[in-house]
Amino acid sequence: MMLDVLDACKYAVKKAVELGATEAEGFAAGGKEINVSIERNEIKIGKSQELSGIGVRVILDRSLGFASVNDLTKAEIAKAAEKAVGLAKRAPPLKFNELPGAKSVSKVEGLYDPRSKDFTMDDALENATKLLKTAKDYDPRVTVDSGYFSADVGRSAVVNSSGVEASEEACAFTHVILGMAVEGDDVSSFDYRFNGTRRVDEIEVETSARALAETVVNSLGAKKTESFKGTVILNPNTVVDLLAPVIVFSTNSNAVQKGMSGFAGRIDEKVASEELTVRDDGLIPGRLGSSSFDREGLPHRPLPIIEKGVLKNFLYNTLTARKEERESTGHASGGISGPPRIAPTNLMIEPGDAEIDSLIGETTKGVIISRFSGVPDPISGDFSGAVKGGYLVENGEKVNPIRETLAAGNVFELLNEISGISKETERIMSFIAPWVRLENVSVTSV
Amino acid sequence: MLRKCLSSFSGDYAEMRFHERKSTYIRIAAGELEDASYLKNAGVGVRALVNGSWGFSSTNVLERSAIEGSLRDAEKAAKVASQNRTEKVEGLADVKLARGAFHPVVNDPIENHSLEEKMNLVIEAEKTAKDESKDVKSAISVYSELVDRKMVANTDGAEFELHDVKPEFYVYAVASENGDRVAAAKTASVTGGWKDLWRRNEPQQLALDACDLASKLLHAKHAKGESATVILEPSLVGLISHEAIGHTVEADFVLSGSITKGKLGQKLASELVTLVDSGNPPEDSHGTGNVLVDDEGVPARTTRIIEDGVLKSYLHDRETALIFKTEPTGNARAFEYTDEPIIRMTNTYILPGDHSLEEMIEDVKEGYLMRGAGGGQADSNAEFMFEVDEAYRIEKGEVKELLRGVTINGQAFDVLKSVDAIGKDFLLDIGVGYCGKFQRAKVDGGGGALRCRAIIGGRQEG
Repeated sequence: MMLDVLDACKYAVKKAVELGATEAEGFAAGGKEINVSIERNEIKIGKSQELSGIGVRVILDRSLGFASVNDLTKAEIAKAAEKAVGLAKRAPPLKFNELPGAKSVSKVEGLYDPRSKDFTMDDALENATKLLKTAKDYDPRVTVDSGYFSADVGRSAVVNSSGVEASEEACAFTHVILGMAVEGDDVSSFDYRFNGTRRVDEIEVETSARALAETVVNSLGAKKTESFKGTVILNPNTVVDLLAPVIVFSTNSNAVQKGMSGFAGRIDEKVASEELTVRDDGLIPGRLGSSSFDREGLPHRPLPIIEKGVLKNFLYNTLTARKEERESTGHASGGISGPPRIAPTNLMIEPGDAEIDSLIGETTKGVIISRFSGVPDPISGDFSGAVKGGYLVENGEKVNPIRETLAAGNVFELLNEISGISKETERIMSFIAPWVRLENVSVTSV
Repeated sequence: MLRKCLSSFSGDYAEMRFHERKSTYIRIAAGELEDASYLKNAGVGVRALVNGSWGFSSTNVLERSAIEGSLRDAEKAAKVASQNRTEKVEGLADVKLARGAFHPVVNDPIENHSLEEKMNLVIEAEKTAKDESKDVKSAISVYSELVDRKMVANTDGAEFELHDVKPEFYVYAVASENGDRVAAAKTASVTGGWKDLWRRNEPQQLALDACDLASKLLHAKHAKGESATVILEPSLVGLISHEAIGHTVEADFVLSGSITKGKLGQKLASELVTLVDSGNPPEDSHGTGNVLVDDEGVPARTTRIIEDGVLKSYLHDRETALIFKTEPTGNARAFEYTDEPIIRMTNTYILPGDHSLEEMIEDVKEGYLMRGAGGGQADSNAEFMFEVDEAYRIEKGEVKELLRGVTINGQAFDVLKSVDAIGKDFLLDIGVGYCGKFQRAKVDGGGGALRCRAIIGGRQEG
């Protein structure tokens, strides 16, 4: 018989301690997924399934062991506990490796919508169809390669042998749409949009569908441009793909402690232009990145990360905090399939004071990037990749879409080259980001 | 039991796939064991075709009643989805489906090697990397393995058992100096056993090589952005074959309007180029992308996507094969039991030619020699961008200095049209990590080295 998530965690902890663990933690999740996916301009497949599983972390004389099973029966949980203890017996000890004690956790509102219980496959189909149809109706040249609408309802729990015990119900309604525009032999770059909410009455897919359609249609007829070093304007998606990963990696205390972060040793130093303020808050009611407790059962602490260009804080879990004799900031992250890591919750780049139109209007020569194809190296900060859905800007005017254009530079350097941030921001899953204009970026077209 | 559960089904088609995955993951970073995990994920995924539409459900309860419940849920989901489907699935292409048991080629099974041995290997590799060079301040070393057992039955007669083992290892070294940091990785990855995993390099050697490269990159200059002659070693040939060409010939993507739509029979590459996808490549029995039978029961085959420069075939599942009136190519793959099969590549590569690498370099007046695939992305119009781990300038037929932060870009078919030499040494070399397309998949790619024209992404003078 499958146990409920909280009972599964309690049983795992009890079992692991019986088997010799000094300390033990269970993190379990279970729930239901309803998903309707889109492929090649059609409804592709309806999926409904129930999933559950548990991850057991044990510490034995400061050595780590971890095991996970997708099954909440006592027999399988006991096997996982045994595996985890077996791994810990063979692992080298790790200084400061201890589980946290309990801390008081206040419930974050708006994470579970009771109406989610009545959400059906028909409802998911209606939204997937709307996602597809809105994009197709925008312009006949739009072709939707793939996408989905998904409704997930579930419960997670964490229990440890030092008194942590917490559980929470949550739901999320998310969607993705990926497509391109085709006109004769001209195939545009593909683009994608995704978003989500935790409230049934806030489900809205048309904005993503229209934004996708607009970008891909506008990038038809793209021309080559010339090489220069100068201005680029990033839309919020590109800010999330290009700037955010380097900030997220470099403020992870584990990367800092292990000598991999470009922000190591720079707290209270200026690391970016004054326009830039970044913060993280996992306690905002109803947001996708929110929860009442983190992966270790501790409350999230809202954190200023960069304030007016000055680096303020790194993100910690219990292990990295202990190494510096400080407290976890409640940023332990992850699921049932691995020990806790560190990640932001709802990361927000604060709006600036510029209109989007003026960011473009003030630009003598530059490029707008709607999607950046490439991954910045979070360690060096270097990036080099292709400009997608790009537009050439000259004398304050959008001139034409561009293709086969590359952008390269270094994110750490460019954080100091911000020449404007928009008032307007977009919420993209658990991120909030504005438009950002950067100077001195290498643009190559051959 | 799966066969019995299917007997009550009355729709067009149904399949049941029991999939048990046991995986181990060990990770050391900067002298610290960050992860030592064992994961087991097992269950039955059920897919049904009813009223010309698909439904899927799964269960982690391995009992007949639960599996039959999933079949009903999949049928129900298919019926709901069919309401808003304009063009119905007309059926699935006929092909001889697999029966019996399938095992990968394994030399020295990984289960003969203890957890202690694997953990020590990761610890030692990280230590070696950190102690090797004064520039390397930090290193990460990872060993992981996926051990799969599947049993599949479908209403068209497939009934088979498939075993699969995919171990991998990598070392990642970070060199730094005066606030400047750069990383380099060396990897090993196969379908097979312990001996197969180390067939090219021992882990200690990989650690030393990663260090050496990181240290050299730290003192290297950035490349300049320009169009140039490049020689791509097999890892990058694999990346182009997979990312830039392969995705555009996945039949689902073709039907959406990818750049290769309607171009079968057209010359899209230099006639030197023959590009294939194979789940059981005759050139290498240990490709990380090996899939002896796909999840629809189609046995592995070698699909000639491009033959002598001409586009010959797309990659199909049984549904798209019927639409294109051809045979399925063994590319229907699901990552876990909770995933439905979709069209994915396996090992995608360019067949070797007759040049030695030295001969290819000799003729280049100015250009680049490139090795080691970093991250890569490609577009619906076959424009791609890849990070290159190692790029050396070539001048007058001689390999010169190493450069850093280099990417190559271009339109993949333009690049393949410009190929004027292909190397004779064959390697599959992009197996570490995963390809993402809503689900993950283990894939591989490679070939002989290519000499061609491409765009180098780099810095412009300010």
